[in-house]
Amino acid sequence: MNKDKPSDTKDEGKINKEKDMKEKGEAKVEQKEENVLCRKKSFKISDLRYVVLDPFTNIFGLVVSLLVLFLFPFKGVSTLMHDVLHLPGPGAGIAFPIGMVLVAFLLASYAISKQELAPFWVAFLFGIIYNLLAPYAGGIPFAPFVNRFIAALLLGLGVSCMLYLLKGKALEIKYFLTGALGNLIYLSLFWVLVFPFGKGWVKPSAVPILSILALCAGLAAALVPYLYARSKRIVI
Amino acid sequence: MCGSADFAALDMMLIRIMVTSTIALASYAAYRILPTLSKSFEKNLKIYKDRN
Repeated sequence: MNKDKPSDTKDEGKINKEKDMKEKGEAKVEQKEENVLCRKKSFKISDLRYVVLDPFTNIFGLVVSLLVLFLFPFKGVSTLMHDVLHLPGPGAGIAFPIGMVLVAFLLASYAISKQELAPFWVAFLFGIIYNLLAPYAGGIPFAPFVNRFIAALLLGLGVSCMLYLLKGKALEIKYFLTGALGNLIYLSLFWVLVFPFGKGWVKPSAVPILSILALCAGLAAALVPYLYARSKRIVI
Repeated sequence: MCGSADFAALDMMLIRIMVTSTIALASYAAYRILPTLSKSFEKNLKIYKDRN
């Protein structure tokens, strides 16, 4: 019996230690959850460091800029939209191929990195790299660089804000609404900021059909990122 | 807006889109299939070694 006592006390000590460790671990987990919730509850500009310092978003922005530049030469897009499909302009090329692909990549950056500010940073990089390289890749820089850059930047800001506002909603609503409205925002910004410098103001009769085209293209753009997010069950 | 049609640029754009999408699809297919192929290869190799 005497021999057993020390072992009992040792066991009790071990059990107490284990309990303490468990409690500490739980406390740590609770603290972490609280931190995460605090970070999720409100928008902070300091959250931008998570995407600015992330290699993924930087490489993604570079790849998106070069890919769009390579895939959609200005004259090719213009010929396809106005001479083959006979759509009114200006803005049909932005609504269907360019804006659609850009919005799809912005939503993909959010779906992969799970950061609401990732689209903003990708759009910022796109605005710089794409617009700087466009004149050297056979582009038609009829508007100043600043205007084209601001259009891309405001698109990223709009998509990020919409993702913040729709936080906690169903994935369908979040992705498809953001895609459609984001593409429409980009088209509207081009109408106001870019086209008046070269092609002129948009005709009022062309606005409805181009807006519908932009909404449909935005919905189509959101499909692949939505399917990816659903497959990964990202619920933020 | 019309009158500045450049069908050579349009052809180039379509070719670029087709080539890029083919490369993307092929790389995705390889990404999905290669792990399965390597697993089955290892399995067959083990069976072969056990036999000999």
